[in-house]
Amino acid sequence: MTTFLQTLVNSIGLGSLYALTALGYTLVYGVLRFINFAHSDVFTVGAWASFTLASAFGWAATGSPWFAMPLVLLLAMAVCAALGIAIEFLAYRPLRKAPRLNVLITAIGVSLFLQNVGQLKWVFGTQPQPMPPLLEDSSLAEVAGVQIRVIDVVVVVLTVFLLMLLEFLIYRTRLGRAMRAVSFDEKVASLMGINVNRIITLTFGIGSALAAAGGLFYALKYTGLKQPADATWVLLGLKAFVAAVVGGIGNVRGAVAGALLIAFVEMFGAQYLSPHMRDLYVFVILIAVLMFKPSGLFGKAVVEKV
Amino acid sequence: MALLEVSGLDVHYGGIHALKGVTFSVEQGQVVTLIGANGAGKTTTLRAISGLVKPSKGSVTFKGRTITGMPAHQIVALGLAHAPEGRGIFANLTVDENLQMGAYLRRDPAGVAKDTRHALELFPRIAERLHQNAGTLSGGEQQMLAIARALVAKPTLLLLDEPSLGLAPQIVQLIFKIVRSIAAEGTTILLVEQNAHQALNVAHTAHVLEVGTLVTSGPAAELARDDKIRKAYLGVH
Amino acid sequence: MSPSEKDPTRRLAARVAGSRPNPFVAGLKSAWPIVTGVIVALVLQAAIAPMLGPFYAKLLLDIGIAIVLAVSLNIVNGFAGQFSIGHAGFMMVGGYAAALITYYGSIKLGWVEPGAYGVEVHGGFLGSGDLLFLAACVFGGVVAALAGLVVGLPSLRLRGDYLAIVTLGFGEIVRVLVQQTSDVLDPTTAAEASMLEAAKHIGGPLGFTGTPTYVSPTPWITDAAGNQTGHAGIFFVFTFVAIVLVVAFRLKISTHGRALLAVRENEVAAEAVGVNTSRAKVVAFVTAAFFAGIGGALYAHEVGVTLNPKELGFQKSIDLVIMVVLAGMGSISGVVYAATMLTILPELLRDSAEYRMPIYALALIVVMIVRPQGLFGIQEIWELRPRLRFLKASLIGAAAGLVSWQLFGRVRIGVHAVDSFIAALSAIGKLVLLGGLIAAALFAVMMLGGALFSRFQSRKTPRAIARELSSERAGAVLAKADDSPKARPSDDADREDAP
Repeated sequence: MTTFLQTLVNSIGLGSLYALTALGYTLVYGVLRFINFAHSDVFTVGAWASFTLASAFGWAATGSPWFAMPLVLLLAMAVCAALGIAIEFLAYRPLRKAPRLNVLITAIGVSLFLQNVGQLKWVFGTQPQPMPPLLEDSSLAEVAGVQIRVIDVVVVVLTVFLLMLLEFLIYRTRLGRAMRAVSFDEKVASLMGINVNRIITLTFGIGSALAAAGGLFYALKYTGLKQPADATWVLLGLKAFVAAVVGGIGNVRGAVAGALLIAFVEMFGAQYLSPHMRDLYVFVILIAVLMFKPSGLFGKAVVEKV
Repeated sequence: MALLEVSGLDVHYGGIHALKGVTFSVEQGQVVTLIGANGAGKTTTLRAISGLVKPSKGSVTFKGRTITGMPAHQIVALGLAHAPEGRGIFANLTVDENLQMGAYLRRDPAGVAKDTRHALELFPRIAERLHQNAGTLSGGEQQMLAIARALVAKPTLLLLDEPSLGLAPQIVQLIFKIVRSIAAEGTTILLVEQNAHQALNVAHTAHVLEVGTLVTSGPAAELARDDKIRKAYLGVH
Repeated sequence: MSPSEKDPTRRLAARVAGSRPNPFVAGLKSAWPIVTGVIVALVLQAAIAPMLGPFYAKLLLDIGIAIVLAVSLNIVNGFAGQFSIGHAGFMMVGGYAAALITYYGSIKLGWVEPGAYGVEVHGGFLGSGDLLFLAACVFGGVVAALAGLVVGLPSLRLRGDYLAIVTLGFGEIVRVLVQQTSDVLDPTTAAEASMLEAAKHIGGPLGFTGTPTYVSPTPWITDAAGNQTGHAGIFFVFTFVAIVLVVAFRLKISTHGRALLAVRENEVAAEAVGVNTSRAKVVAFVTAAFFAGIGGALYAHEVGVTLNPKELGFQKSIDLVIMVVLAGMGSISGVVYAATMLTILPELLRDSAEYRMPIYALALIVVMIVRPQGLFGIQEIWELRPRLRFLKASLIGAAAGLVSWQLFGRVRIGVHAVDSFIAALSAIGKLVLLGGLIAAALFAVMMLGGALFSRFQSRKTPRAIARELSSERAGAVLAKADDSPKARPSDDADREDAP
């Protein structure tokens, strides 16, 4: 029973982490109708940028001040937002009217570019690095033998907060209405006086900032920072992506639900079936969902325009 | 000085020359209609005016400013509203939100509220469905919503693209009645129609487009009596 | 006269039936490309490889394997437009299946002394060992084709991005599964284990160690004692290159190939003109997977290669995708060219290896923006008409690269960060120089290819027919109808980008 509860708690923590990244996929898909392959690399850059910032402030040793984490979080979010906006402007905007396949290939190109530039020795290098502990890595409470870690609580609270913020933004504000309008029809949206490019830029910025948050907390949770082109990052980005797809891409709540589902399956599978196959479960779910309900569990079917 | 002046407009779609030197103007307070067969370039003309397609030659002047090549959202900001062909409502937004999109650029909540109320008075059926998803409306209701949304923008010039397309005759009657009342309130309208009979009835001035070229222009009443026009577009033999 | 003889259609039908060639003769006639390919492979093995020496012969091998893989990916990505980024997964399936046959098969056949570690290559050229290896290649291809069927089925419901993700997921699943297997059995144990048991022991994360190395770069010449040295790896690889090329070309100009292209351009429209799009897509996946499996089998038996799940991951798939996309999706000769170049380049650029991937990635983005159909588009190299402007641009680029390489190679400021940036500029300059030279060489290939192949091409492309028509009859009309300079027939190499 304790094992069961512990796994449950762990999955919620992991799921929230996936959710932060999945939200970015879903947001960008929402407005541009394409899967931003480079999103997982923005996530990686978020983790590495946090590391670089924390090291630059000299918090590599223990005992960082209380404001360290929020400050690094905000700065990393700013860095990644800028990066996301730059990617959109340089790589995706020229292809606004191109076939989707071209945009997809470009996205893969951007992803490769970020991975490999990140590996250059004057960027982040190829050495794994230890992340400075900006958050006290301790157990907050122990309930019936179940460990509840500080980091997990922070991640869950932050994810819930950001989700609510996003929901409010999308469904209650003028900007959100504009985003949904652009998502449905760019041309008609521009006839309403919406600057479509600006909305897309903002969306990329928001999505990338969320990825930075995900990256930072990932680095804090699993403190051994792998090199930027490591397969772990790709896999992690993929899982977040799978979460977005399973939840119905383009759907904010769906992304979070999908992320939790993926984390549950992964953790419980690892606990009760075989720990070596945890990556497998995720992809089996993906393929099953895509085969039987391609629009995702919470998504609406989209009729392809002819 | 006319409110809208289109001169020597050329539009290419890839290798297709869709508009060839289209020239006309729209005076303040007038209803001007472009009629013509399928593929004559009526919709393209509107799209070129509102900035959805870039003309390859020629110029468009609105309120004395050259707007050729400006992005659509800037043109719209100058006081032009375009209810596009096929209605172009946002099916994923509610009716209410669609109307709010019409007022996207307006910063006077009181004025917006007044114009929204007025638009809903014109289309009571829309008012009944404010909180429904716009995608669930019928074709006629969607057309009404598209016009209402354009009105909420409080435009100086309203571009209407085929408001009667695919609608039942009764609804067509209703739509044109409302177009007439909008015009009576002083909004300038550029109307594109295949239903030449109705269009000539509403408009002051009419232009006939044939394969990308303006072939005839004149007061609508005169064109409605023209034998050639009657044969070609009004189905009178 | 009987009525049947009067009817012109019947007469024509009779004539067509009468002129039908003997199937045996026709088969021989159409076999010439394969025969040529086998002869070329022999020449490469027997004459060229000894001249090149082991290092370059190994490069030649790598090029051959890359061609098999890239051309097979081109069938599904280029022809059918089904974007697969898990091609290395098929390679892995084929490679492991083949290695299973050669390693455990050799042991079962008693070709290895019990107790020895690793399996030796058995027999001489086309001896029993080689035959087992070739059979294993085909087996690998078949197993991979089955996997292709499994992946092709979801492609019936998914498009674009989603399909890409599923193929990626497939590649990952294969990798994870292989990593779960146990260590390779040593010959003594293997001799007693069943084949099913053996299939569970294919090395796991450490890789399939001890596979016999049938694919070696050394030429099979006999030494003074009359023993064969090396193996016929180059011959085998290039025989498969010939087969995959012939299949791809035949497919491209056949009805099936046209159906694939139709699916790629517009699935709904293809369906509307009667293409069985489901079948076309699955066939594309299965064919591509088959040859990828063979490519994997060749790779698995290469000297110096340990079949390893890590090597055949996402990165390998992406390498292949880059070859296909840069060359032009659908252009077979273009993909061959890209596979060759992108295999040679890393060898040339060993000292600036870290800039290889950033530059490939950048090239991918720039090509997508500037020339979305890839360098060659769907056309073969000889169908393009090179323009002098292209030569000029590549030479200017090469010159600029040379200057940058030499200039920044010498300057040092003394500040570390600035210096490493300057060093980067120098390395990039070198790459640009190489790129320019390659482009100039390409110009020569295009000129030569155009001159040669226009004679040999048996079937006229629609483009060629249109060109003739426009020059003969319609030329005058066209010129009159559209006086815009874009419509000049001589410019058509650049008009691919028109929708």
